Amino acid sequence: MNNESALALFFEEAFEQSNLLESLLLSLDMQPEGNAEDLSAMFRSAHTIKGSAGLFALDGLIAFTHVMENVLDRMRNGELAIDKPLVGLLLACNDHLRHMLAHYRSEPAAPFPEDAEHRRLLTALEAHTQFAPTAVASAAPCPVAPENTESGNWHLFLRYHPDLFQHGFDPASFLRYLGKHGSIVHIHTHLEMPDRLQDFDPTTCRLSNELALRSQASAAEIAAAFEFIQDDSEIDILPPASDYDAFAALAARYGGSPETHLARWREAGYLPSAAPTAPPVQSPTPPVEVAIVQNVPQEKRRSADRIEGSRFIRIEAAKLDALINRVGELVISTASSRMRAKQTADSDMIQAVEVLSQLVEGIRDDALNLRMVPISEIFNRFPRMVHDVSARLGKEIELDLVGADTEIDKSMIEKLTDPLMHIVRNAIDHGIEDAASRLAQGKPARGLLRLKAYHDTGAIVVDISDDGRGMNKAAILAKAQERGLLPEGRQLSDQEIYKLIFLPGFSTAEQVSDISGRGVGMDVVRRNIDALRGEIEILSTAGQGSTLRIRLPLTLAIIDGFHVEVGGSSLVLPLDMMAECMDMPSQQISRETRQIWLRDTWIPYVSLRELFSLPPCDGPEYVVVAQFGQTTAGIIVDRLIGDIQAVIKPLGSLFRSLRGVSGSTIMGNGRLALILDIPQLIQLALKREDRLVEQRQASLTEHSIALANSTTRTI
Amino acid sequence: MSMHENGRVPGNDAGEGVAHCVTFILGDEMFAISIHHIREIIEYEEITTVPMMPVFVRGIINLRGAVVPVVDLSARFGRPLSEIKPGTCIAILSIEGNDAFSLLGILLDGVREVVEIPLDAIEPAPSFGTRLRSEFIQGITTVAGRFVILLDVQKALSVNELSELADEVSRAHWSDALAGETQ
Amino acid sequence: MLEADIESPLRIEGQEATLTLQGDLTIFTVDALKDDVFLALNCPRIRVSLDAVNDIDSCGLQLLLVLARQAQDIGRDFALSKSHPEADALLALYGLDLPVLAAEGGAP
Repeated sequence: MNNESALALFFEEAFEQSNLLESLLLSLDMQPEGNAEDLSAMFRSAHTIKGSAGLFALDGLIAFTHVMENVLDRMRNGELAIDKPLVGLLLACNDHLRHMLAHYRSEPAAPFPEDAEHRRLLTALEAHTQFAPTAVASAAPCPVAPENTESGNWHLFLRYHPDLFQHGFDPASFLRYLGKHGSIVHIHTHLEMPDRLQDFDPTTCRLSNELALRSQASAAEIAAAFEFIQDDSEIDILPPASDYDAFAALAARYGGSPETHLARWREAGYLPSAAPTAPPVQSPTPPVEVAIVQNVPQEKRRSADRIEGSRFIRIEAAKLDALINRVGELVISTASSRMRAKQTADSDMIQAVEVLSQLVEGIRDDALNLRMVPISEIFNRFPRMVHDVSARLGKEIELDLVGADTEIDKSMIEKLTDPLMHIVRNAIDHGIEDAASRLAQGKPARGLLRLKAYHDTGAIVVDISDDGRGMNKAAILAKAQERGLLPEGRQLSDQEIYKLIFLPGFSTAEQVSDISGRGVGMDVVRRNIDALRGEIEILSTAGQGSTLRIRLPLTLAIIDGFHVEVGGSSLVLPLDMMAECMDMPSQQISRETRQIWLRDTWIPYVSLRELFSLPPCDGPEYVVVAQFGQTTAGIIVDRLIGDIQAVIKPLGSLFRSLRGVSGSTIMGNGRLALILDIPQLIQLALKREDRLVEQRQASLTEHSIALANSTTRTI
Repeated sequence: MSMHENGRVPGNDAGEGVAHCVTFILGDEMFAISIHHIREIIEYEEITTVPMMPVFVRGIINLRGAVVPVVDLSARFGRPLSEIKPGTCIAILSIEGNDAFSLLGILLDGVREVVEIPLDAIEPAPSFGTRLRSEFIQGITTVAGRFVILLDVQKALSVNELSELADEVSRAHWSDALAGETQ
Repeated sequence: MLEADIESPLRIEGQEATLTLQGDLTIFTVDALKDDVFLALNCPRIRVSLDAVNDIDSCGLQLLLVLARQAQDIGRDFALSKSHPEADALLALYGLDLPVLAAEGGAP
């Protein structure tokens, strides 16, 4: 790896560490008692950044993180009381740290300009690093004092030189000496067994020791025990309260697997009790997984386990795309081999190709999975945002993140972040009431904001719910009226009223706040979600809160499809939106209103022949019953062919306005087939239905007006 | 790539004073296109029709994994659709768009040949006498005694203009479909 | 040297090997004892008597430890016939122990 890419990696990791630090600080803010594990992890974040910065000689960064690290170290050791101001200071320092990282990323060689903020933060930090007898020391006994008594112990690792005995030394004498300066609370003696007893020279020393010593002695006094052997033997002495990293470094220097050593030391109680279960250097902790769980302890446990179990590799996105493209080609050529094999009617060949295509299917799934990332990549930004915004508004809000593990296509992450930010900001600003009015309504003073992600029939759904005042229909209507946004003379459904807030320039905030009341935002949200081919639904109960539900397609490059034909052309329907197929009924159908009777209800349908301006079919037709969200519609086709794997190929700019078609795919015979956009087709069917109803009403009205007119005339 | 800027004539092979062009017949007229725009010429293969598009968009083909739209030049020029005959082929053109080159296929009745046209034999587009919008014409000349129109491919097949035309048609079609049966 | 002074400490009776160590069990004697000590591994049951041992150092202890470990690894029954204060102290210092038969000396 060249220095440039190493540096790029450093920044990426440093930002990750910083994100992790932030999320831990925020959870500390929620539960000031903290826990030893988190406190230790915070310390390590700063420590890791400092250590890596050292490799690149980013001196300003080293100096700053050093002071942060000292404060975090004292917090971890229970020497500092943790309170909101301290957490606030560290959050500010972490922000500043990011500024510094951004600076060094653009200009690694230029020293960071130490501005007033830099100096202010340093001064404030340094006030916390001193064992000052004044203000800092008066802090209450620390509630987070680590429970590990081991932290008061010295840890000695003695690997004796094989010639130790022959040189006239006996480890026993060192141990006895140590016994005089304290008490050995634990000792482990390792005997390195000879490979072959015949070759065993009994005068060589095959012993080694690891021990914990409780002692008031100085480092020098302890080291003195080994004065005569330290040149030949390997003597490592870790002073009391050595951090996990020190043990990890030692374990790495030992032969064999560092994990084995660490596990042994953990068992012996040598490791700080706050130590993670895996060395952080080995598994870069994705900040998201910690950040998402701030109020969900059981999830926290689970994701902590996951961190331990997973190892990560960074891959350039372009390489991944290339792989996925290639897998796409593989799927296509497998389909074509499969077709050819069937034509040969050679059953062995068919069997072999069948096995092959199953394997390819597996590879397809694996490859696509590579692009899926947990939605926590977005969710992890919210704790800080909610913290800041609610602090600014003086509201107390609990953020609950559910389903952060839900996976979503990486390409959607960026496009979804801004809309979610807007919605959450809006919920805090407009949705959740201030503590006083909440208490007056008998609600808990602290508002609840929940982000929940889950999969639902081929879609990703994200719910943003609050337990605030709910949508005020009257206020929305009044505002829409005032702004001239209301369609004339139409009774709007609840859903339609709620959706007025997505109109450009709409704002219901009586007092325009600097958070979200500028009347921009929700229309942008709508646009962004549209661009993702998503849908927004609003559920709301006055006084109890609202939920904004965003439903997004999975947007995978390869889909399971169903092959149909219309007018001799092949078409593909996404399988996951198909409910069933049936013969076109001859009886229970209303061709005039484009509806068919499905078991117990009329559903609208779209005839593809009609849509594509083809002459009516002279043979039998079939209905594909398609489902999207809560809606169902029929799609009329000429022929049903069967399942197919479709690699989605975009159609290009010439077809940008084409609706009802989402792309194309290459069939086994090399020809292209169009992939139908079922949501748009269903929408077409529904809108047509609406319009039909409207026009009927209109013609009725016209009719009665005409009647009224004629009546007037006769009078 | 920048041959349009340095002169009126495409296919100007450096210093030779000739334009290399492919001639073909469309209806009863002969046209020429600079070979610099032509990526390849393939045999006619079945085209997948795309509904709700202008008539001049014949559909899409699979060119080694890429989806390439095929345009009927005759229909583009407001004439009847080309008939598919045994000699019909598809020329794959590379057209400069806003930020990238896009591939576009055109149906050809039959490819004549690649000819060298001396630059000084090319006349400017006449303002009358052809049934074509004059901005589509790069120039006119005669090849073997026959009148030949040199097409300005960049203008005649402008990705922007074609897309706008397609937008109109597909939108109109969709709203027709919406209104559909209520009329 | 010292070898001559020490008569073979190993006695084998049926299934049992008894190592009766005497005098010093130290860096100075381990070389001489080694072969006999490991010969005991041929028997299913190995008993070591330290009663007559005056001095034991870490090197001597190491020899016992290697024997005990190897016995365990190959499925031999290894035990000290009786505890020995000095050996016990040394074992304790290292946080180790070795199996010791009951004071009566009778195997169950």
